[in-house]
Amino acid sequence: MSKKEHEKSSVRYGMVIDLDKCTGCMACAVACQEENNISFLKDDSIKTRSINWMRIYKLENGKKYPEHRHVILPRPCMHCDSPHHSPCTFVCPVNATQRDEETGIVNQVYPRCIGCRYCMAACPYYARNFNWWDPTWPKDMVEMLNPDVSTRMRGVVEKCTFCSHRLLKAKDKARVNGENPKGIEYTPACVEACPTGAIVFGNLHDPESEVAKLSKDKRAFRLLEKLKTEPKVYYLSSHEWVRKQGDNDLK
Amino acid sequence: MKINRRAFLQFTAGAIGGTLLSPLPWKLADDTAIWSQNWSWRPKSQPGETTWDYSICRFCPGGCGIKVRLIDAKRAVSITGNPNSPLSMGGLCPLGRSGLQFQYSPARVPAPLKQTSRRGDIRGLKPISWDEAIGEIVKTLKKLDNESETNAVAWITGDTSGSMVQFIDYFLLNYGSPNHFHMPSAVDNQKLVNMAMQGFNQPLGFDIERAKLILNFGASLLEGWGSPVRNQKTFIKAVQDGRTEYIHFDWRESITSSRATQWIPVKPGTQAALALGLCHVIVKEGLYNREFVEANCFGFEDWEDKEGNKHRGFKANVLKEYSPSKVAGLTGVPAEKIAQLARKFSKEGPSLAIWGTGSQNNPANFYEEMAFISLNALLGNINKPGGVINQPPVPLKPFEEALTEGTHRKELEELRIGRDTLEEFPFPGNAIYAALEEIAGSEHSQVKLLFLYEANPAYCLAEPKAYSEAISKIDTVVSFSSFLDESSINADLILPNHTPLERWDDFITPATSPFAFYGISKPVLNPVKKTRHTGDVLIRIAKALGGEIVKNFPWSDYQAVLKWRLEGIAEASEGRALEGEDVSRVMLTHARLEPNFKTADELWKKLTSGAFWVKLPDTTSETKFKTPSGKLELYVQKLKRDKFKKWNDRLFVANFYPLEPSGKKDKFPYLLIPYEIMQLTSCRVANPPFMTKLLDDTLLKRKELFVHVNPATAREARLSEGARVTVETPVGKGIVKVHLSEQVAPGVIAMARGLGHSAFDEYIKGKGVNANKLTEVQLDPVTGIGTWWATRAKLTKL
Repeated sequence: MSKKEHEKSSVRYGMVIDLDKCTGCMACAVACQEENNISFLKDDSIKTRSINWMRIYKLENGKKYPEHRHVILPRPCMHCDSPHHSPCTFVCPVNATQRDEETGIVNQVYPRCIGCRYCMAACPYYARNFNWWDPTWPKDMVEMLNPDVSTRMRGVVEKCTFCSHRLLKAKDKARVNGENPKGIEYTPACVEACPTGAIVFGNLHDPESEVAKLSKDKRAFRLLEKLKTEPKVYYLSSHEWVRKQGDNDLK
Repeated sequence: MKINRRAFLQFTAGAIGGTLLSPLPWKLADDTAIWSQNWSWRPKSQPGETTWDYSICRFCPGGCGIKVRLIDAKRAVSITGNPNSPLSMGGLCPLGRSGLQFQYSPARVPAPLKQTSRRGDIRGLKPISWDEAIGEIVKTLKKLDNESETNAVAWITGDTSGSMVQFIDYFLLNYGSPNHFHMPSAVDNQKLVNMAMQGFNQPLGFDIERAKLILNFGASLLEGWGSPVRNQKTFIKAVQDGRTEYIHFDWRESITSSRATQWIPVKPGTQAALALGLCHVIVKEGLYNREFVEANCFGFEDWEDKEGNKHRGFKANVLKEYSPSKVAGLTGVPAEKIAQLARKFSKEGPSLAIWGTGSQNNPANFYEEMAFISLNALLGNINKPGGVINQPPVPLKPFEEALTEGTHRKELEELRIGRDTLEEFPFPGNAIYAALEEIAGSEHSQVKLLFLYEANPAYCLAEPKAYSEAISKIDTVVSFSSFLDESSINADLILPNHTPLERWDDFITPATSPFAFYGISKPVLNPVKKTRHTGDVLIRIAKALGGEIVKNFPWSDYQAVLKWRLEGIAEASEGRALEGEDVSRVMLTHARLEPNFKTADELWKKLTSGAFWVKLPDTTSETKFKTPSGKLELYVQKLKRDKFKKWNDRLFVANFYPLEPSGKKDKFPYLLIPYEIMQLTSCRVANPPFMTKLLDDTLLKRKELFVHVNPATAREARLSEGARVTVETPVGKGIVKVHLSEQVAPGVIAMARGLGHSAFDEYIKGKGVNANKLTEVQLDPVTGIGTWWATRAKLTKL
């Protein structure tokens, strides 16, 4: 089924995050907040209320000191590629979230969103965030809002877009240069920010791309594969205890 | 027509049906949605033209190159890494990336402020004009000068990475005060040990790029040690390529431990003993570099001085005192493992021992660093590829050259505060604690006017009460901070400096860098507040003071000072401005770098458009050590013998002499050890909202900080997950919660540094406890430097 669905487009943007290279600095998550004008609260310690597109999890091997080991797992939206629908797009009653079958990116149209949060309930990755309040910034910090991304309003759901505004810019540039904009290479903010190059992004359907090659690496795994959501975000780890936790629920 | 009930209902139904079929209700619903989504109070991002400009990040001593995205050249919207930088190679840490939240922080000082009420009252700080503010300082300085009390002026500097620190020194020298102190730094002690052993008064560099085996004695490579992004880059590249093996010794399963090829847990604070255990095996089994030790080291064997007294050398000491079985008892590392590590370390080359903590502001103890340098020296690992490197100097023009002839250079050293205290030490260093203690202890403080530059001692100093007690005796405290930090709120006058993105500044070789580095950080934005560059203010004050001093300040502003200093590099014609080169390759191969500039102007142009000046170390020729013996001294002759109450030969060679934390073990059964993470800055600025959002809820929840305790220890103390406790040490106490963590060694309370701010903005203020307040400072018996590593503590359930 899924194969048939995908033959429509030769482009499937996806990501590979190498947990062996990740040093847990979280520069990716800061870059994401800055790029996407993500609002913050005076108290961001209540994680069900705090908005974060790139959430950081800690995986532990469950052993005692000194056998204990942990890795840091950054989690953007998985942009699920399951047939016909992603879990979230399937339940949206107003078409506020859809998968662009040209690129595989699951978008979120804020003006359409009615805030019913079905999508949040449907997403097995907790990748979606709800705006419980209107976003506010200290007066001077409004200056640093990125002009390429709109701010959101109270009552809508938001999530990682694979920085699709950067894709639009890259496409425009390609058109101006007379190139084919389809499947054009671009870099999301988190990928650009990673100091160790642990995050790789590109077209999973292009067999020559690094991301396609890495996704077939023997260290590769995806989160909750048992649900058949077909995430387009792959993780790499040389530790079996890490790979095993991919099919557990994130805590 | 008669309207009966039936017709009425028909009409109503028809009207409803008709309206629903028309686009009207849908259009209205849509409009209402759009209208309600665009309330005027909801912030919107404004469009504009994008440009990029270059500078250097100044939020830690790492010196990463940055690229700033500007909209219409007047506001900045993002900061990314500059790939030309040989330190950060295009990367940037979360703090650097959050730089704009400092630029646009609500905690910025809007204009010069004067305290009109009592110190600490934020509402009492009233704006005054720059002329008034400078006038007031000039008046006080003139008055003190007339009363021949120029040494009543003291200065504390927090940012020592650029020329500003020397410029302040120069200003004080001209005015007549020797009392320039800087905030404690990890390199304070290292510089002294390096001076004693090798004769160079500078921090050490480590060629981690080219080492094959790295034994890491506690340096949190991935959590803030040295230049953090350089560490991340090299660490990951080397581990991934299988080029370098990293073996890490630490008490905590940190990210650095978890990522290392091998993590070997050691008892807290015993890494130096382990290093000496390795030395023992290396010496005993004859695995050391005989050629290097014989030709270049002094005091390895026993020796006889001119008077014919016999002295015991390094070899005899280490063989007698540090057998693997004894070291195993001290460190918890099995004896066979120690022997195995020693053999591995001396066999595979180049292998390098590095050391430290995650903290950039924690000087170590004298003998500890001696042990690590000695270990490297045994393998001849000094100024060799993949070894410990003495950083080449940056040939900037020294400020002394600006002194006009006939200037009367005052004999100032004798007037230095804290001198009496430090005179008692065999090899004195950073005197800040000694000075603060002396001021606090005196009835009439010698210091009447204290300046703070990029320093926040009221928060950042371990045992910050040393500072608050001292300033209670000082008439006037002037802060140049850009932010309303703890120290500024408790100052009498604030003369806000431009932020790093608004000012001219420079960056000179950071600690741990094996090559000489120089970069210009340039203003990429126009000042948004009524601030002034502290350098410009000093030039103005110097000119207003009049007399001899005016001639010695020929510059129009601080930018001119930087240009003038740069002439030194142009004249020396050394190094190269790296632009567009593959910097990681340069660092790996150390390919020869030819100068690509002829004049200072040419170099200035390159350095202000994203290039960095670099000079690689000479790792091929013999090192000329500047010690009494002309060799690397394993037995240090520079320590003043008469300053030890009782001395023996063991005091002059590397030994394991940890500073015992005070307090009784039965009253305070645990060790409180602060640690650092990349998402929580403990530098002079408070954590920005971007990073606070990322803190785990097992570290900070609501307003409460969690200390991390091993479950076994918690069970012993009858504490469960989330228990609220008072943590008390001999110097202070605070209320925290407990998180059970297998990452922490039993018996330790691990506390993150960087919370517990009482100033800055509402996003950070009042959250958690300041670990510095619970940390005990001890003066190192050799150097008198205030050091800390662990404090005895107890937990009481609330």
